[in-house]
Amino acid sequence: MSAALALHDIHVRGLRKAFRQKGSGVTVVAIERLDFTVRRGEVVAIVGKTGCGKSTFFNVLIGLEPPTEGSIEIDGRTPYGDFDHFRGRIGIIFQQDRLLPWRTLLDNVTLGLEIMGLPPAERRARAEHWLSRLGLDGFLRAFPGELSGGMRQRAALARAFAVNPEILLADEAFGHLDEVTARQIRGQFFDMVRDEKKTAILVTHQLEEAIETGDRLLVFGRPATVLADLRLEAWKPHELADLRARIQATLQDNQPDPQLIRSGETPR
Amino acid sequence: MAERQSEAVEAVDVVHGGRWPKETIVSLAAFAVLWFRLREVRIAFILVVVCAPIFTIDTLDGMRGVSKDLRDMVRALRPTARQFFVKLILPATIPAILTSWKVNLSLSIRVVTMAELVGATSGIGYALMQANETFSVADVFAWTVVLVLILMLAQMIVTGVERRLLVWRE
Repeated sequence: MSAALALHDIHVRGLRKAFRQKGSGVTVVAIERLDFTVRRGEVVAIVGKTGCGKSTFFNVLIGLEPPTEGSIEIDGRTPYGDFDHFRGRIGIIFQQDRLLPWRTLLDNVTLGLEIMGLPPAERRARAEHWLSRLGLDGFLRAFPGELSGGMRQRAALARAFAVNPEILLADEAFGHLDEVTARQIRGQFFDMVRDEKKTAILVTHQLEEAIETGDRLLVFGRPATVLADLRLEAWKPHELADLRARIQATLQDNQPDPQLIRSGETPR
Repeated sequence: MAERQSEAVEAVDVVHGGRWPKETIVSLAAFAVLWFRLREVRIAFILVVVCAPIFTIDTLDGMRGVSKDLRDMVRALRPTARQFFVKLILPATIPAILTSWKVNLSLSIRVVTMAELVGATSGIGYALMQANETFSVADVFAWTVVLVLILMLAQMIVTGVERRLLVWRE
């Protein structure tokens, strides 16, 4: 791999995250230990049961919280330590759209661009481009409260893509939508990720969604450790049922499956 | 000084008779009379001291009420502290600020009237007291109507501002 390509790899090394519960004072381990590298341009799906520390992992990856031990490094910098360096470089789409209710769709999408200090004309042009790409051209001046959940989530997608980040994170971003809408928006998301050659990490508790969308699948135990790490292209369509069953079993047992840890280097 | 002290004692008596929460207004009126010579300043002092804490608490509460979800979303975009305040905290707190204004309006009109009863030589409170002392029931009614009208007008202004600023809530 060339140096230029390796530039935006995400290196997760010995990552551990524990919290002290405010009420009881008990320490809860959200992330037991994570070691893996996400290559530039890779689309990774992380699957795990609810409460397995996936969202905590994202909070650390995006730099909102420091790791307890270990590190996440991108270009030799840590998102928490070099917080400002990553402005406009990591985008996140949350489970709920998290649009600001007092801003119109257009102004919601320009939010990240305002923070980056872009001139108003460019902000507007970029926001309009992404909103129209997601089929929301007729709703630039609408407030989030006036729109359906699917439209709001598409606006949240536009907000994330507008800042043109190198890395995109999606935290159960389609889980709360109905199946048809979820499928449609997920499709748009991955089309855009692949068109723009982004690195994307998608977190989900739905195995089906993970298998359908990722190039690579990471199965997280609870607390978060990598139980399985595989390249989906290495599995032929008729083997997927077997794979599904094995991953279900792995999730159930909460034990790593050595045969499902391939790190992608040697496809089956 | 002795004159102002007796004035203060008188103030305590008047307010005491007005069934206002004793602990606050009584001592405030007394302090206002002792500390400030200008009557308008005394009234402004009482008004600010009574209303500011409520307003501050409401506003801080509103700020704290900004959901962690939205905070995290905006923080993930890596704003400066100023951007974080201007783009998230302030607009998110405006509903709480406006509500606090609406509640404080009626309170402040009562406080000013009360303060004027005590420490002023003009104003509606003073006129009310005069009317009361001369047993002029008609004047008392008339001034009360004026007070109500002022309050309604003020409420209308705040509601108008609210409608403009919170158009997204309609």
